[in-house]
Amino acid sequence: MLLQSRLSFTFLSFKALYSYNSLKLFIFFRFLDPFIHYLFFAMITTSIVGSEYLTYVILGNIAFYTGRELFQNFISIFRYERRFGTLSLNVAAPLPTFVILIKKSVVPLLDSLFIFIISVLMAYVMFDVSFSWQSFWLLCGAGVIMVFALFGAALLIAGISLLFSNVNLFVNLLFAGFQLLCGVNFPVSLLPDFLQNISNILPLTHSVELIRDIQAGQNERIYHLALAELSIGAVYFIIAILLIGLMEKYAKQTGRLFDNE
Amino acid sequence: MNILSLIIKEFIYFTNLNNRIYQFILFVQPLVLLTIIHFMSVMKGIEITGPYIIATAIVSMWSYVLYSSGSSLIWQKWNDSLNLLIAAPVSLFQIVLSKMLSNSLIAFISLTLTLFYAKIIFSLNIGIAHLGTFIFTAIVLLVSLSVVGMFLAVVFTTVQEVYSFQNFILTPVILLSGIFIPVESLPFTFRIISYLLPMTWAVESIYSGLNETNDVFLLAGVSLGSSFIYLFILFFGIRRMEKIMKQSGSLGVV
Repeated sequence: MLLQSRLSFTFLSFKALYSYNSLKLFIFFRFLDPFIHYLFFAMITTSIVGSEYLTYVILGNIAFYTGRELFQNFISIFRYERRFGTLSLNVAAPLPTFVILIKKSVVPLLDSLFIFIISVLMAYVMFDVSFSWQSFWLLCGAGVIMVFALFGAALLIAGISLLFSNVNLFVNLLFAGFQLLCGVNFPVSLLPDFLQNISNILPLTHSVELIRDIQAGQNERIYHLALAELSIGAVYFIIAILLIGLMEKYAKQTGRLFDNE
Repeated sequence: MNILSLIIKEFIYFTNLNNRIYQFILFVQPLVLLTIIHFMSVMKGIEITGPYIIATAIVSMWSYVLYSSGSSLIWQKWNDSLNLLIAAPVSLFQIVLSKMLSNSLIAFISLTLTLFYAKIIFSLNIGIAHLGTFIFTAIVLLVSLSVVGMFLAVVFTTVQEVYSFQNFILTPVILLSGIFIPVESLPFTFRIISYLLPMTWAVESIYSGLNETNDVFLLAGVSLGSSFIYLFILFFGIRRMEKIMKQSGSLGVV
């Protein structure tokens, strides 16, 4: 009964807030959209640097796309809560806001993992990215690590996004930054030193390397990379908890969520 | 006079710095794409050449035209002003045409910005031998982009999730129009679709101009010719759509 109640909370949140809750949209945005994203970068790569870099770029973009969708989903959830006026109800509810958010996070996290696995299979079938079955399971493990590492950052970014009345520019700039700084299409080592320092503290950078190492069968660094990514994710998670706590405290003290409300 | 006034108003709206989504498409997106291409070439140890810079600029132009023109009518519908446009004494075709022309002007700014970024930020050699030919072929491309934009503006009035579905059009058109990969290397069926797009001929014309081959004006002519055929079809299509809307007293097909 308790389990059913907890699951129904997650399910109802999914139906109310999740962007792609019809089958048609799900197929469009979970199969066609990632394929088109990879196709675009495959086209640029083949044209400019040749097909020998295809695997490198496709794997980087799998990590980027998965991360981008995770962030996007969290931002959408917060945005819808704000638009429909239920964000303040979450804050006023007897359950801590953070627990509510964790419950609502189940679907986006599973969805991101699904995107990652589908993308890996798509890369194998459509873009000739080869790997063994053993590597596939390792890749799935890397996907789990990546999604959990990005979870904290996604919560943090979704929280920050509430400060913007028009979130589109913030979101687009953020994703552009991740694409350029996390080694998605080219190695981080090509960037100037100060940008490399930023890259190393961003979630995703180590996941991109981890995925590439697993696919290439180079297992020497994988535990180090996985640990580094999880550590970075944990730091973002703690910052997200603190930020949400602060926002909740501010909301309860002032009786409003934002200065402009 | 009405068209000119509409073009100016549309131009001011879309270049307004408060319009945040278009700020990104216009100013940031070309820079991001150019940065990716620059570092990819560094990774390979090659120097990025003129056609790739132009290809980046074309992608930026196409993105802008797609996102602005494609959503122009549905945006009016969302703001409940489409019925006012239908009731206006000016024909809907003229209104849509003015929107496309202003978007094309801004797309030309996007092209200039990309070349500016390439030259100033990345110190790349763009390799335009004949500036006059390049500007002419770029204008031919803008005409073809405008016509495709007009077509999409009409088609997208029937789609709810316009902004999301635009992504599904962006890449296939880039692929089919030979911006990065030559059309000759595509499978036969795709090649047929490619050559039905006026953009394909315009892109080939630009690249021919850069390579200083003789068929620049022939290709530009084919592109202009096919653009005007589509424009002709659109004229009757939009007129018919407008007539149905006025007869039925509702927004009819949209």
